[in-house]
Amino acid sequence: MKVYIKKLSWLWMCIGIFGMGSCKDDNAAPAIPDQDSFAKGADISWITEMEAAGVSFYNQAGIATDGLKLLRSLGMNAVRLRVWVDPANGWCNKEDVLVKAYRAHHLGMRIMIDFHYSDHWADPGQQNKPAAWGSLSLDELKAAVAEHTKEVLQLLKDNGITAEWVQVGNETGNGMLWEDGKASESMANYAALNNAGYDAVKAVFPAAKVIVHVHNGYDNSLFRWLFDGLKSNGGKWDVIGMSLYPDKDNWQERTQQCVQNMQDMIARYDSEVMICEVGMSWDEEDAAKAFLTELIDRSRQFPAGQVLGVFYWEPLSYNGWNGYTLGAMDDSGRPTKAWEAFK
Amino acid sequence: MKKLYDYVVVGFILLLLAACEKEGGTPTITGVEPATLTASKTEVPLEATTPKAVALQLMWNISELQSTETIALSQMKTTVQFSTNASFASVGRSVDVVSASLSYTHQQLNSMVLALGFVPLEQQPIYARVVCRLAPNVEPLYSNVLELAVTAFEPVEDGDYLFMANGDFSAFPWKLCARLEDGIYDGFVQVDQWYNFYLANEASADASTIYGSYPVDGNQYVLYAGDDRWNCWTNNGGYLYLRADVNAMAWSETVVRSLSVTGDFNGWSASANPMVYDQEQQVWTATITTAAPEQWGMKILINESWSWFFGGSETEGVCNLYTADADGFAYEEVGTYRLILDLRDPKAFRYSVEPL
Repeated sequence: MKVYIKKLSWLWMCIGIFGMGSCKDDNAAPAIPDQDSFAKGADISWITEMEAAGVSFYNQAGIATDGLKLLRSLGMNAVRLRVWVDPANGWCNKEDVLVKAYRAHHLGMRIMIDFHYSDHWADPGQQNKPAAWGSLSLDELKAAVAEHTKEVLQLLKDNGITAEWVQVGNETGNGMLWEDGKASESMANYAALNNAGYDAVKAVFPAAKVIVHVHNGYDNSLFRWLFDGLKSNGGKWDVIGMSLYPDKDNWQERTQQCVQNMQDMIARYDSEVMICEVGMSWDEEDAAKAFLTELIDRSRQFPAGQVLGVFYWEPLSYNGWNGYTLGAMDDSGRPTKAWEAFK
Repeated sequence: MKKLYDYVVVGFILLLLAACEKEGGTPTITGVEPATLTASKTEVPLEATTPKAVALQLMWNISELQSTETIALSQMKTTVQFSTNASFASVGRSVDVVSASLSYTHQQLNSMVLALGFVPLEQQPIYARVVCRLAPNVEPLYSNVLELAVTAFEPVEDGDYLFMANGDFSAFPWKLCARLEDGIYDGFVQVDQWYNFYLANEASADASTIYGSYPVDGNQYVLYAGDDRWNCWTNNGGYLYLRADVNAMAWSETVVRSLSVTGDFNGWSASANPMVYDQEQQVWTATITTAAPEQWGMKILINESWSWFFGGSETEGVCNLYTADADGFAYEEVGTYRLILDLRDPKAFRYSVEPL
């Protein structure tokens, strides 16, 4: 009899395991987001504009799905949202940011806000002042940075939303708000403008971590130049942000260089690190998955958790939306294998 | 004892097979609560000068369903409804959504409110709510109702037309017209089978709005104005009736197999007097012999249909396109004449009567 009872318990166990898996359904109600303290996120700033243009997002089964719920069901727990001051068509202004933040918040996702301090893209090639700030003096610019930062964050706060991380400037490897804040011209000016943003963030969200974000995460000399310069000018930051866009042929080398850069940043400045932007061509999904898996694994290996997370930039874009090809959806709007790295 | 074990095993296997039958389970679902709807603004002055800029964003939170059993989320339907009265006695527009926000550009919202009867330049209220329905047999849940004060702009004059552009925008052979300025454009075209085209609001490659088809296979009839649009194409070719609805962002094509003249003169025959298409002049003609002025006017039936025809209008020389009962157009001549139907400008379909 004992033997049978044993056999029966074994059978029960099998039934339990099999039973738990057997009813899995792609459309199943998603679980609460991954509670991992490591942030696995995406910049989804285009989503409202894409939706208004009639673009849909599909799960692997081909069913039209809320883009944010799709993100969450694929293992992500955070979103990143860019802010422009007065963009021509309104997308990514403070009201549009609120809509996206509100949606993410109600899905239990964590939020990073990315201030460009421009009316349009701010990146290594351009850091144009907002049109309305064109004739301001440096002191007035500092005040404008502070006011804009507080205004946007307060709008979120008033709606019950907390920003966990805030980027002061986007890819500011040569400063921001050119020419006044161009780092190669005046590191002191850049540090002063940066600190105006830093203090404004803390005034609204004291617990938020402020990120200074620089392109080419593999380029240690660029990072040393910029952060040495900021530090010697009293510049403040909590987290060093990085972008990394390798291709299928150089991702191993670039990832290795980026990890070494992270190690150096953590040791040199006692700073935390965030990978704020990554991407690879959507049609190189195997390479993208391998790259992201390696990057996330290596990022997680820092003993004190100094690397806070990895964000994919606009993975929901597809079919050449705005000419962008580094998303992570195939041309039918379904997720590629790249997402498997975030599971 | 061995036998008992076998029975138990077989029993469990049967149980397992039955366990995933969807109909079998009775899930208890909780967390079904009405959504809370908010808007980016409640006063919305629409501007013709910024048609593509975001004008209004609605967002809502829907509590997430908790279920004792796995359920398909696709069961849950969310719809945003708009009405011109606060009680929603009639719903002016319903938009099914999967996302938890809805954004309108100035142009999109203007089209919608004009279709709901708004008078341009007058601030008028429109009401919005979100409806969630768990299943067809479950009572829907309604959110709070938002009142939005919207001021529409006058539709741009040339916006009455959509111009059909060929694949490389080197020619604009045909046009469609929204005669009621309601965003529903239609007209007649003659093109080859598999003809590639776009619909543009100006006869220019630099038109501010250019519709193609949505760039995913299977969306041939979905209109889409994004830069990554595909061209539209027709499966049929020949003489076609095209209809493009920029509210629903969809277009359709119907093959015109015949146009036939009917009246007292031929005993209201649907087929006795077909018209002939003149390729060179791009008009339709028929030779008609009457013995008396047409008492009820004449009709020109499309595809011999009594519910799709050209009939009377208040403007001389113009015949309207009808899909419901209507009078014929005036035809006073007696004797043998050539009847010419010109459908090239869909703003007004014209007919004329000439001696042979």
